[in-house]
Amino acid sequence: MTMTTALMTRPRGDTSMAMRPAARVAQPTPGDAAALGRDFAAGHEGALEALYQDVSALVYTLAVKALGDTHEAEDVTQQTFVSAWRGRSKFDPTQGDLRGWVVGIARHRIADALEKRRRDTRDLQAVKDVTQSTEGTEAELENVLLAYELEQLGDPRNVIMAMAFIDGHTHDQIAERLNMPLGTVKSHIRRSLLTLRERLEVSDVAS
Amino acid sequence: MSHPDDEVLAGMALGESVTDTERAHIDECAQCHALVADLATTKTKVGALTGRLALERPPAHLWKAIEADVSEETPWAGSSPAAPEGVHDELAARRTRKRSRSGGSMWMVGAAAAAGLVIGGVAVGNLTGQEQPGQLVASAALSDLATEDAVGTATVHTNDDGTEVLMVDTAYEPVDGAYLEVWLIDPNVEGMISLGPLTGGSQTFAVPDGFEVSAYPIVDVSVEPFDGDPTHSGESITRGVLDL
Repeated sequence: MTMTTALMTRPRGDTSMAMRPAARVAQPTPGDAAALGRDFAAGHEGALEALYQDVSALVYTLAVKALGDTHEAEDVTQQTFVSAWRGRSKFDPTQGDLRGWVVGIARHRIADALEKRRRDTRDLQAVKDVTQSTEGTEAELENVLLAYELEQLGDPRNVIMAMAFIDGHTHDQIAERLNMPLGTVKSHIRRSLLTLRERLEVSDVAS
Repeated sequence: MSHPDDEVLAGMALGESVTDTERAHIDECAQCHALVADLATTKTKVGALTGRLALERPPAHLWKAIEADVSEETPWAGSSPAAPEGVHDELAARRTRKRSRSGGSMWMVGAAAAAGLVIGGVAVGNLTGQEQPGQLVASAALSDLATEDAVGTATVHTNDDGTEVLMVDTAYEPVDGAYLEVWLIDPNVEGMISLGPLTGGSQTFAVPDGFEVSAYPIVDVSVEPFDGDPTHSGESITRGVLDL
């Protein structure tokens, strides 16, 4: 028998907001991302490596956080990209976001690894508890994805959002520190919130 | 009125003031109402972050391993298919892949660890046909790891001359392009020894003299490809724990 087969899923699409035009996504290079998605689906040379360059650190970080073990995280990362490549015909570049799709594969692989660990633990009759509950892991992964998307906002929005939400500075304080008009700070925060909502939906985090 | 600008809805989710007209619309419009609620949820999640993210990069060798994995089916990812270099490259690719796999999960014990533990015990023969096992020392119920069904037993017996044997009695099915191998593994899944190939449903394996089965109570059956690699493939199908 083989190890658990990869489960391919497409990121859940926009459902509740289907009637409404999507908020503009301020990704750094949306054109590049779309082109990569098409190249990838078509199996073009270099597409897997480009995808790996783009998203391997996120996949690996998610796996490390969830599994707490770098060796297992390497396995999960390797499995994720090999599965993605072998399943590339299932990715529809007109329907979804390649990065979100790969993250979806990674989450399944992480879940498989945790399930295997749980099973092994039971088989071993180990007295030590499995330290991470599935729910705790899910919350942890969502936090990583959200923090990743926050960084993806780019300068200065990532800095402004971190000051406002992580450091707890007031908008006035941020405006003063960054030497930026208050209205501009507020606008950045509003636009950032819209972008994050959009990205979380793509990453299937909001569900 | 038409939908307010998204920024207005974001502002509302952030607790900023909106005009009466805008508020009236949002109260009435299911779409806008839902979006504000959604944005407020996002805001709560962002507010729950405890720090900025420092991404961790996977080690450099990982890309090579992935490239090797996909090279067989993807001409451009591998080297020239021409023989004999092609054959050579394929072996290299397999080694890379195997090494990467072996270095991975808790099952993958490196060749050094596995080999080191079985010094003096690698060539364990199968004592098939041993009819009279000695005194029962321990037993394990075997279960199929995929289905969790009970699939037999493994028992340890001590013979009159002090030698120990492991008897495996399980459902046996040959695997295409691979064979089954029986292992004893420690509770931390850090060390293991191979007792040899499983070639039938009922088989007896010699335990090397001096080997403490109690320290390796997990009986494991794995699927091993014919790749010449002596380490555990990581693909276990059956397992049980001896009640030592």
